[in-house]
Amino acid sequence: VSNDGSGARPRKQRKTVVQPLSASSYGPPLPEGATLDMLAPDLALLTFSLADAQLPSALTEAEQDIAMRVYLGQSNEEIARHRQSSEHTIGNQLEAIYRKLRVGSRSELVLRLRGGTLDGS
Amino acid sequence: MARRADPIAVVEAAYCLGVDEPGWTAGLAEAATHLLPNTVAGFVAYHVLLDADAVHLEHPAGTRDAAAALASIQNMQQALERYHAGSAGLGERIKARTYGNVTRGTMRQAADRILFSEHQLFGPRWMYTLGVPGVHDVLLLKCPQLDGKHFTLLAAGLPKRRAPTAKERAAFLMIAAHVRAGYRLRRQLRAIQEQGLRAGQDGAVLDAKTMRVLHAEGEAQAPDARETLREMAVRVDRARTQQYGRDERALEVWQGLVDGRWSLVDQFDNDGKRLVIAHRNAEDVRDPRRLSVTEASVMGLAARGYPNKLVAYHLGISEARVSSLLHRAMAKLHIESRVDLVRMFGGSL
Repeated sequence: VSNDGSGARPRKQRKTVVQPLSASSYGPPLPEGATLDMLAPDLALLTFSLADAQLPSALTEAEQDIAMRVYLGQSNEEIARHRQSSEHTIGNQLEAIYRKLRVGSRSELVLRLRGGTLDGS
Repeated sequence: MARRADPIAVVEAAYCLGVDEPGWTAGLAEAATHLLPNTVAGFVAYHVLLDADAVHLEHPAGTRDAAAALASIQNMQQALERYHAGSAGLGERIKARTYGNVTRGTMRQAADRILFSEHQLFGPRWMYTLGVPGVHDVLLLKCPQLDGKHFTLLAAGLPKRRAPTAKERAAFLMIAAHVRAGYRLRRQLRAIQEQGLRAGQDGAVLDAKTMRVLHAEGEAQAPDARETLREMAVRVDRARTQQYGRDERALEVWQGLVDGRWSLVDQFDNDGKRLVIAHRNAEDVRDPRRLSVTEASVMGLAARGYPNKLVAYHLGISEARVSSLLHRAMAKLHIESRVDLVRMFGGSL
């Protein structure tokens, strides 16, 4: 159900630009919106806000639903079950999503829905 | 994951709150099999409670091959109970008294002691008392609570006498510290559970003063330690008025989780948030689940949404290595998937 004009199935058409990283980029991931409470003197509660997905309007309704489910961590199999379609259909729809949003992987899609991009802009 | 001498499994078991007491000792015994190869008669774990004039053995559990050791501990447990109840026969009285004295002596020695063949009295003969054949030495890891009354014991029979290496000693002492911390946490939570639970007005700190009877209305089932802790966390989270911001103290604790100064106890999602509960380790104790420098780098890049190929390129290591490092790092911090990782951290880098 791809409809972006290009007839051929796109494969690896996207080029990833490899940019040098600053030294500080190599550390462990650090949370941005986290809050600390102490439950007991030695017991801490860290609360992370899980950002809502920002669903681009370029996606169709079905694609938005699928993107949302990916964002929430569902597998293609689970998504297929919920949407009562086949895993292959989901795979194809995901490919269309990747193409429209110009992302190359599931985690990059999640990053994108979270409002970030791979090159940090 | 049957790795060689892997302390992580035991530490995971020590902080496992979603099981009852017998389940907890069983988990410890099972996980301990990763610590020491070549044991005889499996691993057993149990609690010892020393009263002024009584010795109680509680919740003995063992690995599948520990049936003989376990049976003799249960045997002793019954003998002790009958002895304390005054209903023991002569043979049982002698047995219980001897065992009680030996146990008391063993327990009162220095904290966190590992007995391999250190003491002849408590080495082979201790196991001999338990009547397990084929055992010529014994590993006994003692994890005492500060009150000097409650102990968690991990024990295994060894085929021949030997002393622990320096490395083994260090690893076992570290484990004892986490077992002790895990047990203390369970006891604290049980106390709260029994009293019921109420978040303080300000919701900032839950101490003895702010906890009150709440579950008085005859709830069908008492929650386990984990449920109690989660409920506490949710209440504190709800009671908080402060908005999210860049909380430096939160960063500090997260950093502590990454480098092992804090231990991950539990984490779960609630109301669009992820709640992570961590326990502060003593000064000289680190969690073996701390990330190595490479693991942290790999995880940092993966959290930015980088595919393994790019991570490998940036760090100058193979893709396969990236994959296994990332796997291990996420397992250590209980992050289930790459999607989850990016969702938690992706926008913040």
